[in-house]
Amino acid sequence: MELIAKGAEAEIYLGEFLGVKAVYKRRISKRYRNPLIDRRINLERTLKEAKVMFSSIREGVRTPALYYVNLREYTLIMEYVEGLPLSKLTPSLLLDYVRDAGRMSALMHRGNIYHGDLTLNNVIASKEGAFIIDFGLSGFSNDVEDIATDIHTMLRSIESIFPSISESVKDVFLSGYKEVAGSETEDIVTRVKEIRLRGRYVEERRNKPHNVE
Amino acid sequence: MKVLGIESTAHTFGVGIACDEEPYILSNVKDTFVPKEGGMKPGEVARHHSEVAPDIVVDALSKAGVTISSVDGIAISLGPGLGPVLRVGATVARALALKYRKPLIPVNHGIGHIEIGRLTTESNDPLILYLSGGNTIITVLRERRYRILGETLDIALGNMIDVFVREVGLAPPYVKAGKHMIDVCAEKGSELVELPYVVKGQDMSFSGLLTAALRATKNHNLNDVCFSLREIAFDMLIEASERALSLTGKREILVVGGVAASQSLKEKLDVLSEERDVILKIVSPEFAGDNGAMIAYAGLLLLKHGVRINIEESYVRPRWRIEEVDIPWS
Ligand SMILES: Nc1ncnc2c1ncn2[C@@H]1O[C@H](COP(=O)(O)OP(=O)(O)OP(=O)(O)O)[C@@H](O)[C@H]1O
Ligand SMILES: Nc1ncnc2c1ncn2[C@@H]1O[C@H](COP(=O)(O)OP(=O)(O)O)[C@@H](O)[C@H]1O
Ligand SMILES: [Mg+2]
Ligand SMILES: [Mg+2]
Repeated sequence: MELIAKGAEAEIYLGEFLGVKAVYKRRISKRYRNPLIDRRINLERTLKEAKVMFSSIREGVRTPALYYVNLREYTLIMEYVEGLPLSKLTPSLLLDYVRDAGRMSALMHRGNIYHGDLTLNNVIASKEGAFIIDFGLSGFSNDVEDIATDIHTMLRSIESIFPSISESVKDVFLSGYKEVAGSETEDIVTRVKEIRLRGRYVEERRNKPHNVE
Repeated sequence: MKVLGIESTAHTFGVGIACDEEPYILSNVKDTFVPKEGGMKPGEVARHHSEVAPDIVVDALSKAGVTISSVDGIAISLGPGLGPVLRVGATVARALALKYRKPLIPVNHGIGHIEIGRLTTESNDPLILYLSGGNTIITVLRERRYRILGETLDIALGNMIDVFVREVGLAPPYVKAGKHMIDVCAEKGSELVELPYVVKGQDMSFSGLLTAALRATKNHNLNDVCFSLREIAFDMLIEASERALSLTGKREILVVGGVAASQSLKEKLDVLSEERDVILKIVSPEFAGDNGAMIAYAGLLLLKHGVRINIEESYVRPRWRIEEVDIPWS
């Protein structure tokens, strides 16, 4: 098997499963992490990713098909999707895929699924369209907060990866989203603005205890 | 070129002098307000700052061995911070600029933290962790702005551990002999208590963790709760940082802000940097917490690029975000 990518938390190998090309996603232990926390997280996320990938496919979101789960090795075996993550595309190719990523995200949210790490890195541009991957931080919820957090992370990833054209790319993402989510998009966008203000420096937060040397 | 910088956004009133050649920082004098009990009241802090201000300005000049007439500009941290406290520093800075006919330079406090870190650690194109009382931000400099890659979705990590140790009666003081009370308490614990670990991409959320930890003290050993709270909070931060490293491919991490003084955080960051094969740089304690030198140095960089502000327009900016600042030296 060939190592094709090293994500933030997993190693991705390209191999075969029952005769077809397959991706092996293996979560690796982190030495900096407390060992108990490490095991708990790797197990939880492998399970969560498997569960949510199934549901996501059921909602009609382009998601790699899941072939096999090996919990002991924190490994998922799934369909290989050929293509680059959107973060690596040239601006000219980007927009159509970003619009599609918007549609896929809205479909996912309509199924009460939030992704938890929705960024340009976790969407693959394939011949068929935009595929959403990397569901380790996802979950089920219909809370507008969880959904808006997804949109917030996507918009911010656009800003940090394509700063010079970010306004138009964000607009295209949101218009794709709106094609599916319709008028609900307004409420979500309002919440995104709130989240952005909240994480940001708020005056009251300074009004905190002082510390003494 | 020399710049006198004034820090006055929160608990610390500080004055520093920076110049554009070795040793860059000529002096760094500060006085930190210590409330008798509880939190900070803006009015009290402002009073403290206005009382100590004249002496600190004089002291900073004499330690640097320069006269006010020989400096090329007066830098002031106009925000973010508490309005009444910001206005004390701003008033002093405006007065100096007017009286001695010096340009007034508007400095963002967070940019000060970052730039003094870059200078004193000689870092080169780092992923920056800005960890302080009010901020938990993962950022990189790109196309003339500090771009935020990740941050807290609610309260800052530093604030969270401060509130925890205060609520359980271990503080104030929050830090003794360079060690935070959370560390003092955690070192006697070892059992991991289940507490929420919340990372969303490169963002973190600490408020649920704080609530759960406070609740857990009712039926668990306090040292174990301290230990678990610290482990989980730091692991969340390191994971978010690792994601940002993998996103950007940066080869260096720079840690700035008050929490940079934490030894236990450094231990985890050391392991991360080994695993990812990146260089770790942590600002020294002298420049980690709020100080005037950082404002002077950021002001020097700004002045070199022609940034200054008219006194009539030099309003304080309590909510000024680092990504709003144009960085011409990038
Ligand atoms: N040794 C230490 N270990 C851990 N935390 C520490 C240590 N020393 C200071 N801190 C933390 O640093 C924080 C204060 O940092 P700093 O002075 O940079 O923040 P601030 O200026 O109040 O906030 P901001 O920069 O966001 O405006 C506090 O939360 C404090 O508990
Ligand atoms: N099914 C797949 N088909 C093709 N490439 C994939 C697939 N899954 C992951 N990858 C590649 O591996 C990278 C990391 O995978 P990801 O699931 O996002 O792991 P991590 O959680 O570590 O980020 C992706 O950005 C992508 O390039
Ligand atoms: Mg990923
Ligand atoms: Mg500070």
